[in-house]
Amino acid sequence: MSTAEYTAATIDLDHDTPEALLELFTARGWGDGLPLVAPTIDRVAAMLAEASGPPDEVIAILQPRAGVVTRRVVAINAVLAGCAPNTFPVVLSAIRALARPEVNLRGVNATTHPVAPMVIVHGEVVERCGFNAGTGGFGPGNRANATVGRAVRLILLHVAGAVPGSGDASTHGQPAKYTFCAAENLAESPWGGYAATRGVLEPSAVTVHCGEGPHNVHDAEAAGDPALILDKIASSMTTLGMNNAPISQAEFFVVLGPEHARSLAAAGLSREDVSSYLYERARLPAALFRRHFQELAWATWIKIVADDALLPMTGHPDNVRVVVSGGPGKHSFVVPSWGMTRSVTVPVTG
Amino acid sequence: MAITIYAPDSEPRPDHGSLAASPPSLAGLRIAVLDNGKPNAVTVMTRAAETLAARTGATVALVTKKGPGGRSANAAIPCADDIFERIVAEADVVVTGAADCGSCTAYSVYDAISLEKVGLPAVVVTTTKFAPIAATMAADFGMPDVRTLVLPHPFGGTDRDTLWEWADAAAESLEALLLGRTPPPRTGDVTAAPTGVAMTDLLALVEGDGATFELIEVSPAGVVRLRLVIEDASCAECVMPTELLEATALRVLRSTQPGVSAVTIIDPRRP
Repeated sequence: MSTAEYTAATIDLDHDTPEALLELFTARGWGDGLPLVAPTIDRVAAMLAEASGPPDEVIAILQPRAGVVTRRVVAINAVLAGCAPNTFPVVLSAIRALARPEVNLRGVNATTHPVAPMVIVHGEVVERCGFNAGTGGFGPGNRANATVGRAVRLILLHVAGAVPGSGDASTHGQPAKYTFCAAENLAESPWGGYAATRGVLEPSAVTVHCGEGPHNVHDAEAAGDPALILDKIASSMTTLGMNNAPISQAEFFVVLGPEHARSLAAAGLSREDVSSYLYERARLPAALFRRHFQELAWATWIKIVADDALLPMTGHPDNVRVVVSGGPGKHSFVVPSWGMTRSVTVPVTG
Repeated sequence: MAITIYAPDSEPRPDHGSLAASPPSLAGLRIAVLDNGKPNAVTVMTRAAETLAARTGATVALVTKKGPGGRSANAAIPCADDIFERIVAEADVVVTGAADCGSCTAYSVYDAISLEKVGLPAVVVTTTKFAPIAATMAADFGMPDVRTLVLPHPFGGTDRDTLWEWADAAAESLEALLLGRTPPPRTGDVTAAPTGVAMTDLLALVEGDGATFELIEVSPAGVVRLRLVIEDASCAECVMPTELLEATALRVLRSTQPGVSAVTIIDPRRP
């Protein structure tokens, strides 16, 4: 076997029951605590049929454990998670994205912060494979959303070694570490698809962003002034406890509900206008940053600003990433970053 | 009915590397201190480097933070490329740290390994509480014998004079590490249990956190069963999680007793 390949190991399970599987996994320190689907030879083969490359070719290494990733290893975990085979390329592509150096998976997994990768699915695969881009997309209830996010987490546990207490030091953990996946609502986006803004023009794409759970922003739009929506979002971006505060390269993902998006577009705002407004308005006095943080990973220009100046919560308007998702209702949400990580958008490929 | 399933994990393939060749002497060599900005890290490391220089005829050529241009430091990422290049150009050996938290231990070890791979002996400065994690990271990253200097914990919040005392006391060990020699043994009695298991190194994993081990048995197959006793209830969560403790204890015991095959710990924190 060449070093560019890995052959997955097999285990004989005495009883083909969910209980026996869960008992085995628990004894070995595997799994996410929830019941699993047995990764039999047939089920894994059905998953692999949806991707065209060699099943045992090493396609990535995931830190901190340096576990090898092959299509078969991803397929095993996709079966465990309960994925339907047609969503397999989405899981595979999300893992390829997380293995990119700019994600800093070693840091994302090892930290005491509760960071979890958020997976957003874009394009034609959303409807074809039954992802939910509308009401309740972030949970619960949709098989594609729930299982693709879960498969990603199982791979981080089993392959990357992000096990709580050893490779994952997160103080509290958080619910998004079970699953955190939804879809862009392209039909409701006034500004076209998000992936193209990252230079990805293929029909289907997936974005990964490593950060906190969603911070909801509710604006009932009673006054009919779209600036108030953005001011509330900006308020949600200016808390001292988020890692964005001391780290100016860190991004914000702003997930606009369709109604908020429509109101902003009706006021003539482009996606870039939304980012620029939030960059301008999400600010705190420099003195406050300096008092709260000893080591600041700031862009150089920020460091020489006077104490009474208002500083942005991120170093550049482009770091405010805007995506439309969700159903009817006057809600949007913000996902702050873990900090020393960058989001990645890649095409969905097999 | 029995079925065959795949295992969900995969083989770790860390990028294996070997330590750089150690110099025969430090006289005339240039020491760099690579600082990740953790509280008091630069204080203790610079003192250790200066004491070492005075003792051996080396010089402290460079003290720098690890961020771009040396203007900042972020403990949760690798050393910036420009600083790395500067160290390679201006130094012969490196002292780096501090490895006294989760991601900063991962990246201090990572930086040290990167330096060793380009020929510079590099010592990771860690504390008693994080030495086992540094050892795990070094093994995971493919260079288990990374040179590691273990100082008392914590650096943050400790006064300068005490930090300097610790640094001065460690000069001999630091020299030994950079010259590729085994550091001098820790002082204190070795307590052998009736079955011959050396307890001193094991106890060091937990005694700083108010806990101790009791040896239950050593099986003929070399399985060591221990009971973890937490003497100070407020320190329970400081003690390493069971799985990590077992893996580290196994490594510690095996280094002197290759016959140890496994370690099982009965942990009062678990039902």
